Amino acid sequence: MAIRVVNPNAEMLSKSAALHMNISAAKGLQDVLKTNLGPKGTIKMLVGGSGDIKLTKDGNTLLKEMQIQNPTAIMIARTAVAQDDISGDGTTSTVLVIGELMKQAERFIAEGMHPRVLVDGFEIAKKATLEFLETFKTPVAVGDQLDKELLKVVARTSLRTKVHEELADKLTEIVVNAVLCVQKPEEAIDLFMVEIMHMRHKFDTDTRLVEGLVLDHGARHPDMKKRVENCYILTCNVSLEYEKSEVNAGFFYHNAEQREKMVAAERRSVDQKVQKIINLKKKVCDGTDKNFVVINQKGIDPVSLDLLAREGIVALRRAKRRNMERLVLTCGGEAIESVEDLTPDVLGEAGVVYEHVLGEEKYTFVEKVKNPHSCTILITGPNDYTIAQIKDAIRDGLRSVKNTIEDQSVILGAGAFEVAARQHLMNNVRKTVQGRAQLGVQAFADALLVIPKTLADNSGLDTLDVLINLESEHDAGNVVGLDLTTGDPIDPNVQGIFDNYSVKRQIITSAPVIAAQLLLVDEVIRAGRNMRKQ
Amino acid sequence: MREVVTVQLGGFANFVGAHFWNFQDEVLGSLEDGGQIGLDMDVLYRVGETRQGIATYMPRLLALDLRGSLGAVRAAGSLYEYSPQLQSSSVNTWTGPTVVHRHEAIPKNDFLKYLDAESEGWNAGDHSNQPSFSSIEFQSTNVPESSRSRDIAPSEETKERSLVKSLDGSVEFWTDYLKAHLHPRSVYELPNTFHGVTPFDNYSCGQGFFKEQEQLEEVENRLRFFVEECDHLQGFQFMVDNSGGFAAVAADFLEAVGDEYNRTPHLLFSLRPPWSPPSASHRDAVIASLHESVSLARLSSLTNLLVPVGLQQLASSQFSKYTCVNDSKIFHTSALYATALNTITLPFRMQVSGPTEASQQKGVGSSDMSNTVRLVSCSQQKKIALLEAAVPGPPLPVVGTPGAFDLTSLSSLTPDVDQSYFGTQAAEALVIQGARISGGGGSASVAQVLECTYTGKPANRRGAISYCQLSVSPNPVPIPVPFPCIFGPNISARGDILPNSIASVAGRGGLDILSIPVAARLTSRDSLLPYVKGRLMSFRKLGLSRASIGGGVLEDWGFMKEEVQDLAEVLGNLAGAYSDRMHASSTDSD
Ligand SMILES: Nc1ncnc2c1ncn2[C@@H]1O[C@H](COP(=O)(O)OP(=O)(O)OP(=O)(O)O)[C@@H](O)[C@H]1O
Ligand SMILES: [Mg+2]
Repeated sequence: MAIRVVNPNAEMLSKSAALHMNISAAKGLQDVLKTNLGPKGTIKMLVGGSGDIKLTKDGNTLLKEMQIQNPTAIMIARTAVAQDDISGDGTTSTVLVIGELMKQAERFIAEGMHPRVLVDGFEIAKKATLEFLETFKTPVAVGDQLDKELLKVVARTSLRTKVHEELADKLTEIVVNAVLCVQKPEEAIDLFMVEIMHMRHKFDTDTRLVEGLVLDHGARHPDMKKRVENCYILTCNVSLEYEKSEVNAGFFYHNAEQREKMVAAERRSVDQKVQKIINLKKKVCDGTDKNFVVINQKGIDPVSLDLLAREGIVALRRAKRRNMERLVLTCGGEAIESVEDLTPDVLGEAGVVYEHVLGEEKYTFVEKVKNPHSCTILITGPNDYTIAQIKDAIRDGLRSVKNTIEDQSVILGAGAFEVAARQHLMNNVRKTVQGRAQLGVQAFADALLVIPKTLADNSGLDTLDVLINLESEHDAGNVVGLDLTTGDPIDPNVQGIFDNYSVKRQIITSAPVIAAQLLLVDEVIRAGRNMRKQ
Repeated sequence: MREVVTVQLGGFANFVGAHFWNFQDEVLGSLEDGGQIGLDMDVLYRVGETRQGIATYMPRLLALDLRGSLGAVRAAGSLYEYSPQLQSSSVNTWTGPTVVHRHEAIPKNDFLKYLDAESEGWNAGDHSNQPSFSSIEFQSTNVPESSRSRDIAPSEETKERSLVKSLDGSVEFWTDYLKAHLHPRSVYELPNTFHGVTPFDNYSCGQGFFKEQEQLEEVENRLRFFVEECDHLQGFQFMVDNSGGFAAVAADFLEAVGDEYNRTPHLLFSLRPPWSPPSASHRDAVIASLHESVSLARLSSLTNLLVPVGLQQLASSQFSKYTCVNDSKIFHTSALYATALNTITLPFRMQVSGPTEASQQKGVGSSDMSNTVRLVSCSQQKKIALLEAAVPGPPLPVVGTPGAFDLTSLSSLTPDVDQSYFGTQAAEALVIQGARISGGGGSASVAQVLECTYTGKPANRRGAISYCQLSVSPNPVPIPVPFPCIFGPNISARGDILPNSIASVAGRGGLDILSIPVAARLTSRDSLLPYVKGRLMSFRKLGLSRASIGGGVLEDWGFMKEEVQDLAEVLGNLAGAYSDRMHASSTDSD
């Protein structure tokens, strides 16, 4: 960072003022988020100026909903949100750890220590903690035989921090099955192949896994059947609408006759495309009890719909781009871009396709498919904010399962890792460090404890007692976490409290980097100073 | 049917859009009693149904804005959603503690309260009784104290006047004066932005919103919702706030949805409120100038026809001759631009007229967006068009006297144009609606307008027009009550331009003026050359050298060297389409 201030005194002043501002911003953000943490945390209902409601238990969502003006807080929020983009979880923890590192630093700096030295200590501690994480992690066997029970345990840990137990346990089944559905050996898991669809229903709150695809639109012709069984599915991206010759066609009509001709030619070419589809339908369906469903990404105009309907074909237009891929994974076949590619091989199959109507909203279910590799989680809820919150929770759950499979390991939760890592830093690492950077290591080690402390605090437990108990167990060689109901040490392995390895790794990597940036400040560009909650 | 889907991107675009929809709302009201004829409002509106089974008729509209830019109105609207009940008990996903963080409620202004009261009256099934104002706690600004203390309910007229007046001083959000109900899928507020907090005044602020898959899918799905219903989508009309970050949002949006709808015409109005010259720093001036060039290059390459609208100074312009707008009030300036946009897009929603005289009386010159776009752009050779309008439109000569519809009264809403440029080929679409006959001669018939237009001296036609499309509608533009009081004192209730003032105060609005004639024209005349060339030259000067301030700015905005070259090329091609022959040097060829 360039030093632009000429007067050295002024520079000193602005530096310490800036440092102070950074520390208080980090603490402020920590304050806002800390009640969120863990299964006993607080859910927040945010009411906007016009009465719009958002419901969130998630650090990530909360940060996105907050009006943050302080540039430091914005920077922290961005890091934390990026954390969520990378690993899907751990936003709250990241903010808490950054805040705690800054608090610890504040103490040492007040005693005259130079931030640089502290930052050096952070760096050493970070490296050591990451190494420790490798030895601490619990490997997960992957391969042909995925440990479904373990996947469930991890998903449940994550979900229970977002929704109440009963709902969490229900969602656990759903997210694990959903990931197992889209997962293919040796390939990265594409969570976009899990469609998340919602329906508003006044009295109903329910979530279920549809082994198939739910589309948010229906057939557009009144004569098309609302329910067909035993279907061939044609997935295509072919315009079946008469379009005025394109805007960039390089001519003008010179007379009405020419115009008529053009129109007729255009119409003919659309009709021919439709006819090709009809021909294929006849070829595969005639003389059988099979039905034929066309799902098109492009438009289908009324004339074409009419032709299709007369042949008993059900046709949907303007499907989502991503549904082309999902449909093929669900029903088999291929998505075609041109009617030239029409052969029986490109068709998929589904046991049933039916429509469900709610007011002006239509849904089409493509179900009873063989061996689907794409599926839909369908959320029904009484209002948008409830649906949105369940959706957030499901996303977290899905990510936790994906992470577990891809990390091939998990980390003992409930504060067990943080306490163990602190012990390791204090007992084994600190003494290997020269000079005052030791204090940086110590500050880092202490900062990790913010996780078990906050978990205890949010559960109404006595933080000090709890920590002493935990630490003495660890000293005795027992890796334990915190039972949030009793305050007693527990074995997270037995209780089934696991966090994702990649999430922990990300927290430990990014928090000290941000803290360092905030501490090694030369000057801060000031904007508004207040951080307002919505 | 020939549906149009409207997309509004950004604050000023939504201000213009709100006036636009107020016009449509007004038209809907007078279609029933025959005040407006020959229109097909299904072009812009969709039939829907709420969860309670109540039928709705709402715009096919997607509007993007910053969070919090709807003021007291909820993004989900009020027809489909009742205001959610706020109790912590309504949290049924969490059994642990709940806290409620409440943003200070934004109070509804008197106009919105009036609308609410009105729709409550309707809901109660009491259609005959107009809702009474007295049910509203009225914060009167100009009802004299005396009349209040005398405890006499002020007359309806006074109340409405006071309502309109208070609106003028208080409009902060575009929803403050919007009459039309919007569908819950229509308004999308950009996450991570806050109206009045997040800086959004230049290109870079708007970048990257659609890199986030979830946000992109959300917006795509909303658009899909409206498009999927269309049987014969004739095109998209875009209104884009080009004054800041939304220029980038719009370009990214068009790029993202482009693949899907590339065969459907895109007509884009690039809108901008009046601005003061970038005075501050040299760097700011460079940023402002590059913003102009970059957004022109990107937006024009993603649409079929781009129409820049927005004069640096509107109040002092020829265009606002009969009005008294305040350039610092976007409520005012957006109203004038919306008037022109309303008229120029009218042919898209006119019914196709038959050959009979009776049918032609309802208007002639209905046009598809693709026809208009193809014509004006000369088949995509000239992708920038200039918009001219006269508000109110000029009168026709008295029947029986010689003379023509005065096209010179139309003046440009596009900045930086020079009327002395003209070329050998250009095209224009001219729309004349609700024309009046001079000297208090009343409304002109469609036939009369046709007779007087494109006749007379060539001077009236300013240069060679090779292709033209004329649309004439008998419907004047109805002025909605919440339209700002910007008409001058010599405008009559029917929009005639009178020789003398008839009102003591300037500033006549929806209560004084019932309707006005408007004429508007879209053309690709070469007068646009200075506009396009100016942006090309400044881009070459400021942007092409990496070492310069401008080069650095473009780098900050994330443009790679090759992309900068591409932009320059796009601008070069745009400019190349317009001839730089000056009027004076070629009069002989005229
Ligand atoms: N049953 C449990 N008992 C004790 N601690 C638990 C339990 N379940 C989860 N935790 C702990 O809660 C923490 C996670 O809380 P939470 O999910 O609210 O925050 P986060 O993951 O940091 O942020 P985000 O808001 O992004 O989810 C982890 O440290 C985890 O070990
Ligand atoms: Mg979490």
